[in-house]
Amino acid sequence: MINFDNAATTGRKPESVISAVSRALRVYSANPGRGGHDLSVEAARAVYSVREKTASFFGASGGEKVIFTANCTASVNYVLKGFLGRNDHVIISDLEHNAVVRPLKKIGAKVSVANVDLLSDEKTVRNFASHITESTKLIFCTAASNVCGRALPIGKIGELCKSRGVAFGVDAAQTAGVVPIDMERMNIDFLCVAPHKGLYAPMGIGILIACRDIGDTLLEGGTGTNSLSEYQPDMMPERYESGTLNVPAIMGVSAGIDFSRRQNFKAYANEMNHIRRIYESFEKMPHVRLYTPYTEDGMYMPLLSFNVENIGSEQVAEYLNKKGIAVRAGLHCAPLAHRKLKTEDGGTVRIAPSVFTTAAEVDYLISQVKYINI
Amino acid sequence: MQKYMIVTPSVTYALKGRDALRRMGFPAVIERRNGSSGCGYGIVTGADIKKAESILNDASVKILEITDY
Repeated sequence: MINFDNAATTGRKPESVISAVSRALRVYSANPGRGGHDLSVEAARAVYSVREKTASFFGASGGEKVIFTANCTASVNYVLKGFLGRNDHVIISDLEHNAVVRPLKKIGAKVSVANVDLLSDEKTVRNFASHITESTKLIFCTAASNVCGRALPIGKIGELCKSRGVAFGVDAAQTAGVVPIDMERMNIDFLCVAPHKGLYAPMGIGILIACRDIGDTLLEGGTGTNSLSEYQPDMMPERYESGTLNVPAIMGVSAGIDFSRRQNFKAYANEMNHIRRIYESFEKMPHVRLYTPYTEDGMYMPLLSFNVENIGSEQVAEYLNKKGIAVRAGLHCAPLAHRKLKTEDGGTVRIAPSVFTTAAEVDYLISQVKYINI
Repeated sequence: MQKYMIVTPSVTYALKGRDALRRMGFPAVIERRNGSSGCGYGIVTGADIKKAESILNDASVKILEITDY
């Protein structure tokens, strides 16, 4: 199969990540932070070194600010449900994933939705600013849409937040590891990461980096210390890490960060070249509908949504599947984005290459869409 | 040489503190300990405890208590 569904998870993992996970299963055979024996302390040391590496990679000061969660959705939930209460005012974008939308519904927060201009960062920032009031507690937005790839001007939104005294949280599921993120420079208070995407780590792990107090916990339980107390401890990161950590996946994160560093973000340019070729080819096909304007690097991430006239997106995906191409069709758990693109009735077909995608694979995809026959 | 146990609130802070001390040339190892609030982790180190405490404060390592080891 040719995998063009790398926005859901990067399908092919680097050998270094696979080796790291495999090694962890063999070597780190104790629960970190639970015992005093050398096996437990060594596992804790290994986890701690990944915290430090992660903090450094994302421009946060101190590994203790790095919380390992089950996945990026859990990270987002921890921030939103910890930081916000009922009737607190939060501003989100009109491209958010259900990982953001659904918790906010549950909390009962007052939500303002800022329009992301598909072509202008300045207009986007102005749209966010227009919603800020004296009671705004948080701006929380995606770093890039998982439906159309539009990358939000996170640095400028962070500046806005700092100038207006509003906390800033980012869902970096589609950008972490693909483009640089510096929490300090971008004034990001909470960063939610899906390591199994742009960091090429295994599924089953998420990262939350919190540079300010999150607030309440979602999950309480054993943390390996202060066991006599029946209350959740208040120190980071253990406060938000009850239960056993996914140590093999954490070691995979470490290897994934190393892989990303070796790429030095060059993969973004290569993947954008693939997307541009696909875009330019699809533009010439009268039966294909595109939903985003053609742009230069920086404003979009390497993913693309399209539809084929008179054929449902799921049918197109099934057709491509039979041709050996994996894509994702439908609404991508992002109803706001589809409402914005006016594709909520039927969704779109999404293409997302990875660092391992080849030009030949792109050629094959283009030819299959060009001559689609259902 | 007098040794001390510097008790930290979590294994994360114990490791952070251990690394901070070792970078400044202090010997430091982590040990499990039991205290008034239950189990925890401490950094065992010798030599100048005031200097060690200062290093840990500079590194933003939370210290719960310092006891003789």
